Amino acid sequence: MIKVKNLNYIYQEGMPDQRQALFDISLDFDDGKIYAIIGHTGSGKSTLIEHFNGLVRPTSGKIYIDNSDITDKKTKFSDIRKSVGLVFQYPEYQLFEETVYLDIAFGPKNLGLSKEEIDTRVRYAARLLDIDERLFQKSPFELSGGQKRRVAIAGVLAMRPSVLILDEPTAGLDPRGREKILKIIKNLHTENPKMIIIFVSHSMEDVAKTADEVIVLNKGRICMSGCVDEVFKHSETLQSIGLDIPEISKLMHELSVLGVPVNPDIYTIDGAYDNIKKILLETNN
Amino acid sequence: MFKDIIIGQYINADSVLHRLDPKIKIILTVLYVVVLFIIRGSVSYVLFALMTLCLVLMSNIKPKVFIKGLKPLVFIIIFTAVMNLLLTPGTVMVRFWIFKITYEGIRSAVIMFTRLVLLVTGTSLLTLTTSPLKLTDAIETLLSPLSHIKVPAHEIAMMMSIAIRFIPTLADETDKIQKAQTSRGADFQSGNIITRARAMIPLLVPLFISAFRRADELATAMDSRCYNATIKRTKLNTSRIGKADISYALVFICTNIIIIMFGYII
Ligand SMILES: Nc1ncnc2c1ncn2[C@@H]1O[C@H](COP(=O)(O)OP(=O)(O)OP(=O)(O)O)[C@@H](O)[C@H]1O
Ligand SMILES: [Mg+2]
Repeated sequence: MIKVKNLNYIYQEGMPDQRQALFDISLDFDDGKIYAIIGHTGSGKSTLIEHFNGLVRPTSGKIYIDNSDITDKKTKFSDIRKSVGLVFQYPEYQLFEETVYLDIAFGPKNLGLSKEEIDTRVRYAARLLDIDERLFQKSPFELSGGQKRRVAIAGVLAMRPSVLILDEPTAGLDPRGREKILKIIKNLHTENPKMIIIFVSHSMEDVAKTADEVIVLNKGRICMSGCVDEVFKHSETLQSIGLDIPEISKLMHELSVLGVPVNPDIYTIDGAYDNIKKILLETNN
Repeated sequence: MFKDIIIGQYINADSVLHRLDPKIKIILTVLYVVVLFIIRGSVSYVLFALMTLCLVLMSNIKPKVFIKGLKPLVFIIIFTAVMNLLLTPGTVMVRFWIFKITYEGIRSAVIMFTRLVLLVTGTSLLTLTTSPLKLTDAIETLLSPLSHIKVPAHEIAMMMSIAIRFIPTLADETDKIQKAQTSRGADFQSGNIITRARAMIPLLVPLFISAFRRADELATAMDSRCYNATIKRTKLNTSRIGKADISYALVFICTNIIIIMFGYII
């Protein structure tokens, strides 16, 4: 469980160009759920998640992970990083080892694990991310963009964190690559039912498909948070802070404005399909 | 660590030095360095240091910035001074263990220390008060007579401005990769020199790859806009040397001549 209490963060504090990136953030993340953080560019999403594994220390406020205070000066960062895995935006640019295998093994090796344990973990992470073992001896630089990204995510997952945070994991991928990453997130959730998964996204479609709960940030403050159904009902608010709602939501809204008796709060294609089919069948009868 | 390097950093402000023509500024900086190494005698040094202090005050930049710029070089400066102190032969003043400190040693250590500090301060005055763009422009103009003897003035200036342009980008990139590898358990701080050097590999490999990628992309972008170094270009902003620039240069040169003279008279 992660608990964030009255978190404030200021970049370059005390300098003339100081700038507050987060304002009084309080949040709870429960075990076993998938959370999405959305917000316009510059709203503080990356800054917020960098707090969760101690890369950034809050200017004020507290963060508890499983009841231990990670903002405490005495907390060892190596312990935090063991339990919180953070995948950065465009993680494929951090690959550096000679082979895919060694790159995935970098994290576990830093944890000081035995050779056998490292091997099991590498294979485990590779399987979850659908990386063929035949790629293990290849150089990571010979892979395609989507494959590189999956190797980079595997590198974090091999540390077996209990919290996995991904910053825009689907950015810059083609539709098939996006689908694949989202499916992997879903699988990860089924295989580790207690893991907290937090991902940052710009795409409402991705959020609608994958997340249980959504946190909407605007200019460093929490604008809304709650389960996906709840948040997507406030489409005006979302659009007013520069976020796009799923295309299918827009369609359902338009239809209901035109007088078609559809449910305007539907945001998935499957839901819309069922809803429209039902209405069509009713009118035909 | 990159954030502390002020060489090549420009601070936007308004002052006599900011307004001075960049070509004149470069020439006067060269002159400053030459004079620094030919002056003799403590009176000259004191006067020269006073002149530098005046320049710093005239620049409208906080003295704190200059002190921050000296920090990365503290080790080299102290090391040079200590070497001079211990290794100069002459009249022995103090003796301890295998070392002996001589009168000449103290003298040359003080001189070395003063010279290096003044050297760094004087040259950072140039970069702090001149935007990189103006600086490279001025270098190009100053080098252009040499293009008759096949010195590629324009190319040199272009390379310099590209290099300067990419310093903040690379600093940002370093910061990002460092954070990412730290989250994978990499440790950049502890251990002896060898383990620390090895720990830099996960940082340096991605950094180089990204630098090469950026270089490639930039080259392609320049190519696709038909960039050609041999074409004669006119400038958008030409800076002309005015009366104020000339009078400033004259005052500076006279002050320096007087300072040099002091060394030989007294
Ligand atoms: N290193 C830094 N120094 C100063 N200000 C920064 C720094 N990094 C981010 N900021 C500022 O903090 C604010 C939040 O930035 P952040 O990177 O968290 O946004 P984001 O929501 O992740 O945006 P994006 O969607 O573009 O990734 C921005 O206004 C940004 O300008
Ligand atoms: Mg971001």
